[in-house]
Amino acid sequence: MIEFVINGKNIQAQPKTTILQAALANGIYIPHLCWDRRLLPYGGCRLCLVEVEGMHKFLASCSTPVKAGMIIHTETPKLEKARRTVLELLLVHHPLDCPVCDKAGECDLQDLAFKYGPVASRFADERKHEPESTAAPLIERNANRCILCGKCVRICKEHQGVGALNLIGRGFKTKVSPAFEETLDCEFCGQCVDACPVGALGTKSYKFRSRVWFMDEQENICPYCSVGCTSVLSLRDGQILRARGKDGVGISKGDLCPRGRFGFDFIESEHRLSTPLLRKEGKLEPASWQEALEFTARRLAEIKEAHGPRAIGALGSERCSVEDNYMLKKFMVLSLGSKNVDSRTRLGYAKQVEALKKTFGISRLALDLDAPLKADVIFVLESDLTSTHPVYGLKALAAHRDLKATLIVADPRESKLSRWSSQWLRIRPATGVALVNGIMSALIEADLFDKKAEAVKGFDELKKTLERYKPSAAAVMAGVSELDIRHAASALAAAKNPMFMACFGSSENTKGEGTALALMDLAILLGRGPEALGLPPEFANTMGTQMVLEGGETGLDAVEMLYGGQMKALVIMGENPVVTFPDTTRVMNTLGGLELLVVQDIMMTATAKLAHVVLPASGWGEKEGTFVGMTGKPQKIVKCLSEIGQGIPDWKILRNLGRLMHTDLDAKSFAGLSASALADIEQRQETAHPVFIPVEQETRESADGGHPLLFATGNLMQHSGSLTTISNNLDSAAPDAYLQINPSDADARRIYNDSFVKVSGRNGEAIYLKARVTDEVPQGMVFAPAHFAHAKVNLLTLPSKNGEAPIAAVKVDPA
Amino acid sequence: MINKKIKKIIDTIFFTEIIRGMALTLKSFFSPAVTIQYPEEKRQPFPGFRGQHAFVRDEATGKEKCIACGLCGAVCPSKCIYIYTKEDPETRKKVIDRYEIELLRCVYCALCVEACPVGAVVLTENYEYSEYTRDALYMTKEKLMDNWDRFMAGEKGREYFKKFWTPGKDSFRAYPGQPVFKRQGAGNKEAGAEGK
Ligand code: SF4
Ligand code: SF4
Ligand code: SF4
Ligand code: SF4
Ligand code: SF4
Ligand code: FES
Repeated sequence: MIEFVINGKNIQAQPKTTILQAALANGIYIPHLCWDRRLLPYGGCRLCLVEVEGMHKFLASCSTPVKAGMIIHTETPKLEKARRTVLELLLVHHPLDCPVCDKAGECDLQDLAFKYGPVASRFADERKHEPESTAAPLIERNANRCILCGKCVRICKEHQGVGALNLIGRGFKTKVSPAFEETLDCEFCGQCVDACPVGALGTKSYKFRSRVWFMDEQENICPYCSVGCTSVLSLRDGQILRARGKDGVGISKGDLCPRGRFGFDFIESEHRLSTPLLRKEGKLEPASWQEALEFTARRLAEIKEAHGPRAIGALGSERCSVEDNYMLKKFMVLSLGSKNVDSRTRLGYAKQVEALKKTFGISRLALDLDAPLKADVIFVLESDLTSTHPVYGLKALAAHRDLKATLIVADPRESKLSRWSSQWLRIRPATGVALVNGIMSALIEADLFDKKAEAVKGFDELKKTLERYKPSAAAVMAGVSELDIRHAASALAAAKNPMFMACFGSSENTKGEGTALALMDLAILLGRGPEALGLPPEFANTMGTQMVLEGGETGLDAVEMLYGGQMKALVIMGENPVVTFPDTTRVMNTLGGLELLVVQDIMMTATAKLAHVVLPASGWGEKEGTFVGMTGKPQKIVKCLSEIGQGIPDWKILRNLGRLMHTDLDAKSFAGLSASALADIEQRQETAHPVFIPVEQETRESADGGHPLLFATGNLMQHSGSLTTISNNLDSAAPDAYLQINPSDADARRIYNDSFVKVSGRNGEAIYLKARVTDEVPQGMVFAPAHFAHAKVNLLTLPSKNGEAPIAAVKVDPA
Repeated sequence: MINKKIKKIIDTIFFTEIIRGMALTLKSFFSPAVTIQYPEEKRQPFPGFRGQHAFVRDEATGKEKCIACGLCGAVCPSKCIYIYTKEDPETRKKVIDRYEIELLRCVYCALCVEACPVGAVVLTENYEYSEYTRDALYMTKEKLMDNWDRFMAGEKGREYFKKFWTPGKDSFRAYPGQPVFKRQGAGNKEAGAEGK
């Protein structure tokens, strides 16, 4: 600890703290425009000047570390004069169009000019007259208002690892722009917009729509991935006008990704349902709640009577709150006597839960968002965490970039992580198991593993299995060099605190339960417990949903229900299996053959179109609830909007249905329901007991002459499941599906960028997509994002049978 | 002491106070009347009277002058100005979508007039707007612009701007040292000097 004095106050701080940080931490405000907690000091704006006794020059407090015994003054007449001059210079070419600038009222420059600024400028003349840059989606730039603080440039490069913006030009003409003044084409995370201290960067959807002083602020938990960031919503007249990250607020402390910042508008989509719909003479017609619920209750009772409760099943949703899912389970068990309740987690997150149960004997991981920052070697397996969990992925980047951790990325696809990695193992698609087995075998061969592992149950079996995965053999299977495998193995063996990261998304078909098992085996072999695993659940409430639905007894799972052909009736809450489950044809057959399909959803989905009854539910922001994200801690979501039409929360729909079926589901108030739902999941205390579960490299299909390419599906950073495709904002940034194909594969087939291609699978189905010729995918692999309903990507995908990676083989031809 | 008592007795017996009162009545009876026969006769308000609002129509364009900055709504102490704005798809300028004033809540402080950086909202001399419904007293942009045409168009408005409504004019005082938004040329001399 270093001791020093600021404005007469004795202050202590850690060495290397800057004066500005120390002052802010102690409630002393020093004006600053170019400093940001997340970035390296820049020292560009010179507003943070302070006087230090014994120094004849002013110091920029943002870039001066404190020294013991410093006596610092932050407000003196001399400093005030200096700041006034700095502001006068900043305002030299400023347009001062505050009356129409969306930043006014929360503009740092405006506030500082108001506090310290000169009354009139001595520089009367030239102003910048750059036209606004409005061509890019979501983000607009107004170079005239820019004070060239460089924050946007640095946040994009240093923090996001993108580098889409630069300061180009010199002198008076300097401006912020993508290279060669091209149209901005980036991730559209919007971090630069939040960072800009003035109104030079703005979001399109908010432009000119309100003034900050007319809006209320509401913090809410982002409804998309499991990181559980807090987005700060600005509301006016019951409408969300924008969402921002606010420094220090929530788990994410102000970081947001494109979905969290721009995806809020799905809630006001024109596709929202407003009344219950009932199928009459083959057509879905609006009906009253009474009519719809009575029909549902009667039909459910009849089917239960005729086929028994086992013929009725339900799908919950990772988008719905813990309470909604809890109520669904309760409704199924108490009102219908059926235990068949599951959700899409079965296709993704459940893989890792099953693996965790087998290897460590625990059923969940509580992750720390900052854990990657404490690791010295990070191993990422076939996962683009910066797309699926952007803010979590940033931590892996930061660990590598700022803290010099070794980042090993094993992924056939190029991603932001692979671009920044220390070692990129470009394996063949879906060969993660072979690679990890190879690494383990190298560790055993070189005797680099943790000796405690020898005592772990299953070690001998593991060793036996690994004999088939000697680094040389594994290298062939995974398509990397033997040396690379050995290199990765020794890096991992040398690590004091390694971390193993992957995401098991329900639409990612390159990993199976086996992949999770292999990764866990590797952790155990290196003497690590579950704390070294960074396996985030997929969506905002994936963990909560899984815990609630798995609680108590369980019946058929989602795969058995949808592909088993035994169901007579299904209640589907907030899920859209026609789009989000693999093998669409079979899903459609199952759903089409049902005697009763009840769909509760916020919008008209492809699944709802097949239903006999459609019940309108209120969505995120329109209801209270709880999400359990990757930290395992429940976070409350807040009601800040009124319901659309006749929509009501899912738990209320189920409670009303329960009442009609004469069962007491004990949900008199939301608070009571919430308390019992959470009590259910919070009770679990688990200790890990490691066991090795050796796995073999297997995939559902492999390429051959007829179907030579492996078809991987997955996620984009701008979308989340199929929900975000109704967000106009996100849709403008990532509007359509496409097929990434390697240039050599494309050339061989005479496929050009942006031309349409026909992708045919072994199951006889074919889909048509626009080609994107890029070496982001290796030869022999094609990739398509799975979000877009119209692209019907899941016609070609398959569910995993025995924990193997469910990747499919396809043929691609010009359309 | 004695005198006072005697005076009181005389006042009581001869009703002197009533006589004095009658004298005043008689005097007023022959002096000219101050009340007027409203509504047959109308009172001419004093210059600068703060009556019903109007939205200034720009003589040059025929459109509203408002630049949709929302400052009037921000300053309004009774929060009765509602401004909804959007981007004009053609000019890409910020424009008013809806501009509404709830007259029944307005306190006629004219702070909105003072806050407006472009002189786009004013208070007219019109005080005759009693109505039977609340709706009729909920002013929209169209009604407000209509008010301008009826009460302030032409010379009258110009006169008013000269005398009362000029934004950033010399008589507009900020505390010394406070930067104010001003149009080119208009200067707060005192404060300006301080800045140098
Ligand atoms: S950036 Fe700030 S100072 Fe500049 S016009 Fe906008 S509000 Fe005014
Ligand atoms: S939106 Fe994100 S990726 Fe795009 S320029 Fe801004 S910071 Fe960079
Ligand atoms: S656009 Fe904003 S953040 Fe970027 S340099 Fe200009 S003022 Fe700074
Ligand atoms: S999608 Fe995930 S990373 Fe992005 S803002 Fe939401 S919670 Fe955060
Ligand atoms: S202050 Fe003037 S310009 Fe601004 S919104 Fe009000 S009327 Fe329009
Ligand atoms: S904040 Fe220190 S120079 Fe800008």
